[in-house]
Amino acid sequence: MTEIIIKNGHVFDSVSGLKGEVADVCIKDGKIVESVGNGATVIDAAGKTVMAGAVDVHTHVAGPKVNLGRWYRPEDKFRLGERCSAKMGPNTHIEGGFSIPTVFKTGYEYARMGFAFLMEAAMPPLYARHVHEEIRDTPIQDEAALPVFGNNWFMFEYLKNGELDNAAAYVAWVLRQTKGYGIKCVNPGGSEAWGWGLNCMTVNDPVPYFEITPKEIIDGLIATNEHLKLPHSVHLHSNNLGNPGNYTTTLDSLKIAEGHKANNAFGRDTVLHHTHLQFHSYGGTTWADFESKAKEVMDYVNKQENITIDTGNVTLDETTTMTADGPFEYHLSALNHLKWANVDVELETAAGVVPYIYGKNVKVCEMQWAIGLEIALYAKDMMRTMITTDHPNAGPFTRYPRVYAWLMDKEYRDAELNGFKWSSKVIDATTLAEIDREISLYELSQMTRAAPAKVLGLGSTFGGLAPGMNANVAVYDINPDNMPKGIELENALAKAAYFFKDGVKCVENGVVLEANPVVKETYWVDAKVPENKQVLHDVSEKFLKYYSINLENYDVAHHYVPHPHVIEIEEA
Amino acid sequence: MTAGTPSPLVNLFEKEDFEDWSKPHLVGATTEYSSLLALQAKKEGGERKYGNGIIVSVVTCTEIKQGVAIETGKTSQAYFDACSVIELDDEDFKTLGINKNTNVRVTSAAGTVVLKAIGARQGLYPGLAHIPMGPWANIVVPSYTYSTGEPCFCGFDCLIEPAPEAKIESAVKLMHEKCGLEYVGDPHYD
Amino acid sequence: MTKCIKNVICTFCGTLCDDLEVDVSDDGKRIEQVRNACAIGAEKYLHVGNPGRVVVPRMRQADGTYKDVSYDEAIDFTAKTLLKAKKPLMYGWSSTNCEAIAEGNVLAEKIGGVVDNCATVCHGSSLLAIQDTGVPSCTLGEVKNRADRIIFWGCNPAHAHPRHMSRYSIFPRGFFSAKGQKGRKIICVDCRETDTAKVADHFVRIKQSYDYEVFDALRTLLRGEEIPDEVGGVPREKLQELIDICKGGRFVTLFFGMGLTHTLGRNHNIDAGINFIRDLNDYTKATLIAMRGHYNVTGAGQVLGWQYGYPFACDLSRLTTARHNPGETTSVDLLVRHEVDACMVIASDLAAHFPFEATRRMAHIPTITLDPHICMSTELSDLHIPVAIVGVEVGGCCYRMDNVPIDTRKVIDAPEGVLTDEEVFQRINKRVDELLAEAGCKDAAEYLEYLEKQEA
Repeated sequence: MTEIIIKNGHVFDSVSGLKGEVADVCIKDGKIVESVGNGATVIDAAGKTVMAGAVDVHTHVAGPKVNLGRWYRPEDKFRLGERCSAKMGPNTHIEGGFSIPTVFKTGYEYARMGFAFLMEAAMPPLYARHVHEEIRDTPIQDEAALPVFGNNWFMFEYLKNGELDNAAAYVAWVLRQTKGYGIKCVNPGGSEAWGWGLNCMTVNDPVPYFEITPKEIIDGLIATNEHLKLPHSVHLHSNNLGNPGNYTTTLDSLKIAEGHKANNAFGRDTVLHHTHLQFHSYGGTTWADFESKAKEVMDYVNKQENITIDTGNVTLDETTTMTADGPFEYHLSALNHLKWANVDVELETAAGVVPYIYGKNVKVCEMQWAIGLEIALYAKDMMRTMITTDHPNAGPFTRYPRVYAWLMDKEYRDAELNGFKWSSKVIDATTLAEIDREISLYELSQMTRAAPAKVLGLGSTFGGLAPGMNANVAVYDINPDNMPKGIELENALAKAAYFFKDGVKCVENGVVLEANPVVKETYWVDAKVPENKQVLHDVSEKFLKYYSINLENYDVAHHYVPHPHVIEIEEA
Repeated sequence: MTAGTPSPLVNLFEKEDFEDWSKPHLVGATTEYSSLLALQAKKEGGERKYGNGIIVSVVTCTEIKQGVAIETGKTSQAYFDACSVIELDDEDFKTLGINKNTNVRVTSAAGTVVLKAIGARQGLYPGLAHIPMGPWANIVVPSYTYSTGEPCFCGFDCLIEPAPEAKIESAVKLMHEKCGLEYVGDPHYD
Repeated sequence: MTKCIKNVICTFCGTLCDDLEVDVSDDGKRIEQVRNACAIGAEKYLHVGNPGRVVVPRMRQADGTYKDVSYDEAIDFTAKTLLKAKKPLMYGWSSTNCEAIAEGNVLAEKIGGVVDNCATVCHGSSLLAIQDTGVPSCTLGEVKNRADRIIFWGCNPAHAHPRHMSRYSIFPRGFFSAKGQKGRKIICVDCRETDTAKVADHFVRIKQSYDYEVFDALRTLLRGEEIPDEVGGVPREKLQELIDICKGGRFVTLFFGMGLTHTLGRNHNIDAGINFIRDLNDYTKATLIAMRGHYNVTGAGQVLGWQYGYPFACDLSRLTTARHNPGETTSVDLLVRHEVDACMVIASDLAAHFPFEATRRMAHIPTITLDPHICMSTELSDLHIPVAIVGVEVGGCCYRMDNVPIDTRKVIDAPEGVLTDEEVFQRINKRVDELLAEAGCKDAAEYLEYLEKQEA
């Protein structure tokens, strides 16, 4: 029975409604409690900021494309001045990599910043075992993974025929087979078209052969999701990513949510999460007249209350892009001529990997940087807006503190903006320079804690400090009465003074003490559906005819998930 | 150490007496190396015959017989039969003046090994020979890797000479002798 | 009465067929019959019961004979040998499961070893090319469902991956390829007219070691430029025909093997091949897949990748950083240059498949071999630790040649007392921890100093 009291910190937590008031946080046996006895270990947090452990709603940290990135980018381990291959402490493993860190570095770096939960945002079902092996070997954070459904042959068939029950039964089956968490949809239809070297650029482009449109796919997936009452909403990466003028496709995709209503027992009231919105908020027709449409997109997001977004902030680093949007990566490598990797996955999805250098003197990159910040700063409801870098696509997650600091300190971001080679053009084509808003610590705690936890349906255990919740607590060396600015703020957010995961102190002064005592859990969703003979028949037929492995060898056995946390949902 | 007498190999930890590192070290080189370079020159002049032998380019590849034999056991007769051979083109048998299934001595920059010359199981052309992957092939595979880690398993020159009287050694004995270790056999397979 | 176990995964080659049926005796100790396997796979399962299986560790003695020792002794010897070595090589990993590999890599980090897998002498060149230029690839099921043009270049699945052609590449009928073989054009490029070439529609014989030139010529033709009348022994018209066939296809897949990686040019051959496929994507859909040999050589690279960031040749001997420098940290080079002072061979046969010069070095430094069977490496080692056979006596995760992970199955019990690879590594790890703690050392570097002091 371990008891800890974190005393006298300025607590920012929307769940318990604290906006910086000085309060004590008590921990007992891995949970937050009202009070603890006199024997409790005392952590002095006076003059410091206390928040719940952070939740990353969208990150690529485990699985085939991540590891392909590690394989084919040895140069990612050779960057000077970064911790790219080093053993940082006697009880931790060697940490390697920058934009695609090894599993050890991933866990440690997230812990240093105070993260308690990670959502691996794209899991090809056929490769689920690989994803779970990496999750198992990543220390500290609880994790879950979203299987991709946007280019799945079964779903095409069921959704085209309007067979919602079958779609739901199939999704439930896949979640059980792959130990997955929810419905991810990447470039709906486009990645299947990529099987023939084609793409779907708008929500109305029919998928070759299957004759279903992206709009029907998104609509059907949302209906399926709410039918199953899953904890998370549909998690969408819409069509036409990264192209000038794509904001209209984005708005078309977001509007699909209009007819839907959330249906679940997890406190989630939204039906669609649009991820890395920055990449989808571009105006213009070419890279020459490329401009920001962040305001237009965010105006819609602000008024449409059943959708959530995350930002996808560009961090201006050399990074490695990776996505299940296969055609996008092909076009990207044609633009930047860097090495192109691609994996098409039978019946399910595709994926691509291309290194990318967001240069500080490249106009497009500077614009992307500004658009990402605009999106966060235009947000009205911080409980529907989350900060991500779409790690590692717009930048590595280790840059979160820098993104936070840009958002929280106008001077800091303006210094960056004015230092650009093309700063006057960027100022003309975006509205960032006109925005004075600075995100507060309380808003930050919403965007990085409460909001992602809520949209993932984990609001009762993660993202807050109310009694009964998991004792994930981050203490930062930030005194709200004397707010640090710029780089000091960034450094304070990068190295938590303390981080407790399930009540275990695993970081002190930014140093990872020991990861082993922390039991990390893998979350997955077991949605009960009535037995569906049609789906079982379809599954066995497709495996027999079209898959390259047998049905009986598809299931992710339990030994891949040594510490499961199963969320069971009663029959719809 | 708790496990009885230390093995003679372990003593080499302290004593490095195997090769003199003060000498210039040509990776993959044995005494034959320079003479083969000379041969190479001759070959490019269009003449593959050398003495009573010929020079061929050798590739070492996997084969189903060798694969099955690996699973049977590397000390088995099947493995011996599958791997201790060199396939030559029919033309090359004529040039060599030997019949199929005659033993030959194969010499490369890396070493010398006796193998049985057999007809091609999968089509070759004159001047191209094949040895199935395995211990026998590896005696003659040069270890030079061009800084890739990958040695020259395919496309290295060998001198093939008839050696009808020479004996083909068993895998384990061959390795022991070539390594300079005493071969005492083993009850597990002898 | 026998019981039939279905959907068994064949742990021989990178094809990782998962449809074997194995009949097992009632007591679960003997394999009676194997169905659906190729000749090699069948032999793998059927010979498990052959007499002479080693079931206790064997230590070589001064006179060259072996004596049986207990697992405890073997593990103690291994732990001490690895700790005593300044830079031990831990090579192999390709015929065991990922669980054991993960445990073994952590041991390597602890004792400061170099981890390298069979890719180093198989598709290491391919990995270098991928690091240089990327890789447009797909799963084998995509090939089965879509491909109408198949190129085999420098590989011979008829011999090395016997069921590859029937399961994935030539014969199967898939979703968009309902005609099977009739709907596909098969091209085979090789210097030998292999048995694979015999089933191909087009066999292109090129001169040995001219692969790079031929790829280059194809790329040139694809761009509509001129090439000489003959390249690498192939007439221009033939090359143009190949280009026309490829461009006329809807989905092209290139399979390549040792014929490219082992020959002159190495990674540059693969580089040219990858870029040929990349160029083809301007006209049609094209992908390529490496014909990985051992059933889990891919997995060995995957685990090393997510733990330390590199697919092979990972030097952890500095204890604080992981290095990857092919040509320096690759096994053959390390052995030939006498840079390693102890060797652990795991689930692969170094002595049978390395050039002799490297093997000779391995035979002269302390060597421990983990292998279920007697092989060349065990016979040149100081210690042979027998283990259970993955895919037969123990399950575990393995990766197919297209990186798809498959959970292998246990079909019979291992002989009594025989440990699995994973258990052996767990116990070595534990023993190393104990030895470090006994000596009061925080890491292997301190332990070396401690040993020096002890001797002085």
